Amino acid sequence: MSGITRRGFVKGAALAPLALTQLNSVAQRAATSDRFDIVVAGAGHNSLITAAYLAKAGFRCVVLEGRPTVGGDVKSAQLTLKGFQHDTCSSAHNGMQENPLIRDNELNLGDYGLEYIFPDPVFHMPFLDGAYITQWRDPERTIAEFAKISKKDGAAYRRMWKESETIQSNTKFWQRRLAMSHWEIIRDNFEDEHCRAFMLACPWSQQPAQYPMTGRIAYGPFNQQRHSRPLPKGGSGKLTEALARFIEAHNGVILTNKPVARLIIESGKCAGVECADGSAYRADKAVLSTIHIKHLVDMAPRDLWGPDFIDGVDTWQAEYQMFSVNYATTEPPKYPVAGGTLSPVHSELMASPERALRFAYDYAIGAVNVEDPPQHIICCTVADPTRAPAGMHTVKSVAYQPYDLKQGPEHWDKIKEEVADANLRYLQRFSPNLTNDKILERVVYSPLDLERMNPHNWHGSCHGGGSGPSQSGTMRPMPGWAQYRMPIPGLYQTGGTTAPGGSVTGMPGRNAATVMLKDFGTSIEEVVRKGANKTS
Amino acid sequence: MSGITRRGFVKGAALAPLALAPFTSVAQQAVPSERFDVVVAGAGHNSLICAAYLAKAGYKVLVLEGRPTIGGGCKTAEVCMRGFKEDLCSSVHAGIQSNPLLRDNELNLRDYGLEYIDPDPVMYTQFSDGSSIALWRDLERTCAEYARISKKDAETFRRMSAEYKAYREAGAANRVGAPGSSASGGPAAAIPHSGVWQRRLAMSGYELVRELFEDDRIRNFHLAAGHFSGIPGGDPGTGGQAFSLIDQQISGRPIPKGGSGMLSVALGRFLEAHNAVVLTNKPVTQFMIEGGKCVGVRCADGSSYRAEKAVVSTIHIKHLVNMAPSELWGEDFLEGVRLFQPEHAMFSFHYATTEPPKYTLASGGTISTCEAVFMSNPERILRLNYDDARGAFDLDDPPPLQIVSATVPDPSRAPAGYHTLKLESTLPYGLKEGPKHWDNIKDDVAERCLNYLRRFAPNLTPDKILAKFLESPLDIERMNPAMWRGSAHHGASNPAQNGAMRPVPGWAQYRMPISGLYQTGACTAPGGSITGMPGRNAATVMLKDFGTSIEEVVRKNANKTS
Repeated sequence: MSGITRRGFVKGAALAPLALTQLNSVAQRAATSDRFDIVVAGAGHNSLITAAYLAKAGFRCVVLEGRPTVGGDVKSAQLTLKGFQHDTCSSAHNGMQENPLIRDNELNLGDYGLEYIFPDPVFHMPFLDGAYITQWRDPERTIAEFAKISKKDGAAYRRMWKESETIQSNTKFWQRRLAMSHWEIIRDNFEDEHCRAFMLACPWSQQPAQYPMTGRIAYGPFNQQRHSRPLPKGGSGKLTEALARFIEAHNGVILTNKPVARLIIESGKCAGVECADGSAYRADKAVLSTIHIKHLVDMAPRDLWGPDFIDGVDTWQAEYQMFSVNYATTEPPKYPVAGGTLSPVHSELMASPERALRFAYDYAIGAVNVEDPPQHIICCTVADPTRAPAGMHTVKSVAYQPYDLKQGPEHWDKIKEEVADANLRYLQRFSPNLTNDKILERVVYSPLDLERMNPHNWHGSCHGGGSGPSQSGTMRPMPGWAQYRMPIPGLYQTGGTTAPGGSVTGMPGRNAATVMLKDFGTSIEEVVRKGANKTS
Repeated sequence: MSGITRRGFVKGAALAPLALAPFTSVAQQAVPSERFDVVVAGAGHNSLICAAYLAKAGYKVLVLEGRPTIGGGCKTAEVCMRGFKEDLCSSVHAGIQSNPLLRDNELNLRDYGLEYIDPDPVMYTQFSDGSSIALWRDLERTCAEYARISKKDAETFRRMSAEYKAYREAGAANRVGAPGSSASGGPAAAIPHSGVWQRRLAMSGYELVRELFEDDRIRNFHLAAGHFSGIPGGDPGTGGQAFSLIDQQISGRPIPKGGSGMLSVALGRFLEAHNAVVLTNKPVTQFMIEGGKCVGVRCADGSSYRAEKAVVSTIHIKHLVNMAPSELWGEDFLEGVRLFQPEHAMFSFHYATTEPPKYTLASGGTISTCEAVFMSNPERILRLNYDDARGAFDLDDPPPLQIVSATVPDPSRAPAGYHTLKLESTLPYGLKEGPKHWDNIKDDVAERCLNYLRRFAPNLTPDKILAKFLESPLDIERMNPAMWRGSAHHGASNPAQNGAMRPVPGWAQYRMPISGLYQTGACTAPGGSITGMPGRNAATVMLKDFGTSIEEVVRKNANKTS
């Protein structure tokens, strides 16, 4: 550890090599005898954020990633054809905009290549009867879209947009609303079926609409009314690339193809990790994991976790899984609208509120229902042409299907192309231009493939697990261990299995940094304030 | 108000007339000019309990009931045939057993005719493959039934029974002295494995039965019996439903001898024995407000009754707010009432029969039990939300059917050798065609539910059915306006409407926004079902506001100086 300012070094030297490695296939070699303060097991956006703050604080970090590239579910890659940069999982970075990391520009990630685009229109929902609703950045224009279908619903959108400015749980007004189901709130505020469908599925929240404690989701559309659905220029993975550059610029080491297999325990304390290839890395201060808790508990003797923690891991539930298809196309979707067509970045196909309400049942019984299959369509190249060769496009269809089929999850390998075909046929009914000849290539990710792609996507859970009341807040990952400290001293946890959960918010990452820095005798405020200066 | 002890009067005189009126069709006349300390609007079991404590404290109480008989959802009547006492809504009085009212025998209701029967077996179910489980009051006997289906699940039942007992005992200790609050504020650390319980209860019943039990039939039994609460077991926060049968095995499912309504009858007798007046056919339509304070009520017949100290209501809050000028309630309260949601509506089909259901045992022979429940598979529970939201349902695979054959343990409810039978569950109130459509379909719905039951009790051929009385969700609301939209528990008992949010955040302490007006009944914490807790809690709050305490009233018996 040293007290020198690294900023000069960063700007001059560190950017160059990473800029050349387009997919962030960082593969520096670090001798295992190298001394590190912090060993980070897994390189998702959250653990990279924690590592970045710790590195900024002056702690020497090594980040070990099991896959060939860093990023976890915040990653972009040429999945189909050369030159087509697809987001492998996440695309929009809404939640991140309110994280002080971005909001207050705490790590100057702009200097490391991160730039956001704010698409307008924000969201579009077409219906088969010819009706459609478009959400624009201008709230008045969105309200007009609702009002053209129902004056009452236009007024409801305006009322809830205003209400959404004051969301907090400690007022009588919000206490009940937040504990209600979003279906109840949407049903009681909107009268028209199109408007209700839009509010339920813009985009689909992966939470059954009738479940209690989901009231906040009814106000989700206003979050994107406020922030749009921001896209990093060049791909979702540009965030994790920027973080990796930041860490390397702050004396950190990032190693890929290094899956962590075991935690090293000495006198009951976590003292480092051992990788699948037999290499071991010792941590002088702490180990930080973003390994899924279902796998984490197998990496140390069970008695060290204690029965209550193990019980919490045993009862951990998966979430509603995604089924995604990435297309390389010669055209974006073109939805018919008055006077022509519209090609938005984000659109959702949801036939009716009743179709949305059917989800919970189909999912629970393990039924693949491809009747009017709801889909979230994302065409980033409309707003960011840098992601594909000139004039070409990337299109992603995100649908929702169960991981656990009656025949077992492996059955997905047999049926996934068929399901993708059904989804495409449905999309083509809304966007007739997207005929098969416009599709150059596609790659299909079933819920099982999503787990294969990233073991943290346990049972296809791209957010680590369900976000219902039993796995939220002080119960994530487990009541008693929601403060990022694990039952084994010296071991911390971040990522989608910690509060506030999955999605690209960076909050688990920044929160874990806050806790660790406090335990190390400093504070995140001090680290942010003082720049890279640290004395340890 | 006077300080005399009324016990002598009670025992000697007041019992006689009521004992002759088996359904509490109390119809004494009170002159409207008579002075009362407390006017009670509505006579459900909770408001009667509240009134009973107040009367015991020496306050002069008037109870006004809109229907011809008191009892609300705790009522028994000869609706099918003369001599067949059918429970119109509730049958089992499980929750109230731990209420100090009964647990500590605070009002000596036995002296007024209340007696409980503890049926054994407690519960029964049978599956499509012919296998069955009876739940006995004896743990080992119950585990043996489980072991016939799964040895592992029998072990789990035994282990969970022990864990649940420890949890419940610690929880009960924490809850003491916290009226109306589900969040006790007690030391959570006293609960063993509190984190594990926290997670379990926040999960869905469906998720938790799958974690606990390996056999789908046992999961099915627990979910079906857990559904009695009316909340779909797929919802988060219903993990307790996985423990439904464990609780039932430990506590039993007691029924009052003579009918569920015998509790209300006993309370009515108690009230009259304590100088109170109970008037029926007196629906309250309006509150009298003077100087911003609630000083009495007006009834539909134009009569009005003044209350010197307070009015206590058990009118559903959706109707309550129409009974006084809206500005008196305040916008926050009105908004909370607007947001109040119904629960999945109940239907209740009643029959007079010549035989009880005789369930066919795979081992040969039959069994007849006080209660049984039938559901096709665990996933059926997950369909309830979807059906409710779309207002449609599929009766080839009915919702979990609860069967009550109260005459099996209590022959006093029917002529010798005859039986009463009740089938109930939830179906949508808001049909696609509108709630009135229920009048067109209820006969067919009832017949199909009965036919489903016949798969397990083939003896119930049409010739065994003497008469029927069918209550659709719409009928339930017609019968009792407090069962708004067929909500037998007045509204959903979920996180948005429980504890400190029942009926409305900020008004969970039984005091309404209009001074002088109190609220009890299922719209208040801890909600519906026969627990008597809203009634006793409201009495606790009112007595405190009147400068005394429920402990003092209970201790000192009927002596009071006001």
